Formats: sequence, C-alpha cells, structure tokens
Amino acid sequence: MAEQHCIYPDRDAVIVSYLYDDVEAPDRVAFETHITMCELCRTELADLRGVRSTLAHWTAPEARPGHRQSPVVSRQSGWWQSVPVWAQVAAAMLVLGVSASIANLDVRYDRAKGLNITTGWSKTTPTQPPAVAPETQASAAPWRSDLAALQKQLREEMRTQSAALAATSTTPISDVEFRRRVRVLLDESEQGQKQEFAAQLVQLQKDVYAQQQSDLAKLYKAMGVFQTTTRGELASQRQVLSLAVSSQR
Amino acid sequence: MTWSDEELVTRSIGGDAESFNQLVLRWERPIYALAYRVIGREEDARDVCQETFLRAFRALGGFRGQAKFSSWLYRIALNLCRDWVRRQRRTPVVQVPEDVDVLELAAAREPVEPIENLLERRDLTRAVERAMAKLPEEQRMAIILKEYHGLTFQEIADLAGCPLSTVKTRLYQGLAVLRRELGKRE
Repeated sequence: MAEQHCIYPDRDAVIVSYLYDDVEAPDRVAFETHITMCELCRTELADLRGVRSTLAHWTAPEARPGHRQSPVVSRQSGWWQSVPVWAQVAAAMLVLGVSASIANLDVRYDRAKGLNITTGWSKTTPTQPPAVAPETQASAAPWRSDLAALQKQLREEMRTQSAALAATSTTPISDVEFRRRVRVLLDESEQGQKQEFAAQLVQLQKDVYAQQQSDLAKLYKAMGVFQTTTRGELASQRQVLSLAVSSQR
Repeated sequence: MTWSDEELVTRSIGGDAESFNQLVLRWERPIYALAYRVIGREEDARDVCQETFLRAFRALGGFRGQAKFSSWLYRIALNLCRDWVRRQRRTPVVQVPEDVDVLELAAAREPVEPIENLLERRDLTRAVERAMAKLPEEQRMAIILKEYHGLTFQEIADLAGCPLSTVKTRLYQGLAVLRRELGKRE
C-alpha cells in the first residue's frame, strides 16, 4: 500500500497549534475544513489527542512532607513555626517551669561531702553548719570564687532565656496564620496517612503476588506428578493389553 | 490579600523574608515536578528544586522583571537540570522506585479504588516514563513544559533560546515518537 501524504502548508506546526488550542481563528477554520477531507490529518490528530490523554497519567510524586525548599525558612525560621500556637505556648510553659526549677540551682562544697549541686526539683537538704570556717574554706578551696561566679552566670543566662522564651510565646498570632499552621499540620498528617496506606498497598500486592507464585508452583508440581503417574499407568495398561492380545493369537 | 509574584519579589528584595517564603510555597511543587520529570529521580529532583530556590534567592536583586518570575525560575531550574544530565553523562533515568507511583495512586480522589484500576494506571505511568525516556532532551523538555506546565509556545522558545517554529517542530516530533512508542503497548 502506498504511504499517504498530506501537503497542507506548514502541516506539523499547524497540527501542534491546533492540538494545543493555540491557533488564530482563520487558521483554525482552514484546518478544520481540511481535516474533514484529509483522513491522514484526522487520524493523526485523534492519535495525538490520545497521546496527550495518556501523558496526563504521568504524575510527579509529592515532595516528602517537611522538606521545605525555602532558603529563607531554613535561615530565618524554625520548624516550630509550623507547630500550632497552643503547642508552642505549652512548650514554652514547660521550658519556663524547668528553667524556673533549675534557676534555684545551689552549688555547695564542704570537705565532708565534697561538691553538692541541688536544684528546685531536688529534695531540700537540711542546712548544716559549715564544718570549717569560711575563711578556712576560702583558703582551702581557691576555686570557690570561680564556682560562685559560674553559678551567678548560669542564673543570669537562664533568666535571660526564660524572659526571651516568654516573650516569644506570648507574641500574638493572627487567626489566618493560626489556621494556616493548623492546615499545614493537617496536610502533613494526611500525607503521612496516604503514604502509610500506599506502603500497605504495596505490601499487600507483593504478598498476593508471592502467594500466586507459590500456588502456581504447587499446581505445576502436582500436575507433573499426575501426568507422570498417568503416563506410567497408561504404559502398563498398554503392555497388559498387548500381552493379552498376543496370548489370544 | 494575595500578592502577585512580581509584588512578592519586590517585597523580598526589600527584605521581607516571608514574601520569599510565599514564592517558594507557590512554586516549589511545579519546579519539583519539572525537575522530577526531566531527571526522573526523586532525591535529585529535590536537590535541584532546593538549589533553584537558593539561586533565585541569591540572585533576586538581579531580577529586573523583564520576564515573568515563573519564567525566570523555570530557566534556573532547567539550567540546573541540564547540568545534572551532563554531570551524569547518561540518558536521564525516567524510572521511579517501585512504590512511588503507587503513592500517587493512593493519593487519588477515590478513596477505595479497585486494585485492578490502580495497577492499570501504574502500568500506564510506566509506559509514559519509558516512552519519554526515548525522546531527545530538547523534545522532552518542550513536551514537559507544554504538557505539564502549560507554558505558551513563545515562553518555551524564550526558555530554550530557539525560534517559535523550532518549538512546534520539537513538540510535533516528540509527540510523534510518543504516539509510536505508546502505540506498541496496545
């Protein structure tokens, strides 16, 4: 059969333009008139529409949740920005509580018990009179002043951090922002569930396939045994039959 | 209030970090999808996507608004994809891990789609991936930009740096190959 040809001017470009609905009105009319008469163009157009329809099935996988691309997010914000405000407040309260208890830090040293550090969470140790006079302590432990300085510094830092955290947690947040964060969390949760479902689906598919293979293998094996047995029986029956026939002769 | 891309760019240049975050949220999915379809590997596509926004952020001051922000972003992403392909020195592997397409299928609108349909769609997806992998780079990019990102012929021509007629030819030739390749499975 001779290959069909179409000499429509600039045919390829017109087909593509028409296919993507990006063609001037006069050109459209002209081409539509043409395809009523040209089977080759009509068929090709239909096929290319089919290709486009098939291409629509190719979807890119979702980016994993929590993998935000923003360089600004990574530089200037934290993961906690996507946490609901109530959770942020709760976390801040918890940190405040811990900080407050730690702020009662008490560092003691005596010769009998050595270094003793207590916090607000610890049981209060009964205050005992120093076994050695302060002057003697100071001379016996020259690092005591350093320790006291450290204690003071720690307290200062914790106080500063607590204040900063309190300020952060009480920053007012708009309803829109709050809803957005809740939506992000919900989306991530939904995405997680979808992934879980998909993973289970894949596992199920694998299990079903493995079971099918196993069943088929058993079936083939059983059929093989049956065929061997049947062939053996047939052969022996033929042998008996031929013996009987020959004996009758 | 919804800002346009260009307004968000202006605000970002002015130091408003949240505006750039908005741009990222708006465009990360299309850029990732573009990178994934060109590269065919999730992890690398993610890296390209991240690098795209990083470069855009660094070069934001140089964006003068001659083109749309999206075109500018696509250009950065495509250049990175090309670099990746050259670095790999091989035809892009348009092959996804076993479970990836099923993840997509599981995310379908119908919550209880029969498994036969899921498998059929998975086969179709793989057929498209295989067929796309056979296209030369220029044809594949033209089809990806037109088919999945809805760019105009002129926008693709600007991105590819070629005449508009060349874009149409690439599209036609690419679609013809896909027609032949996809026809084999029927």
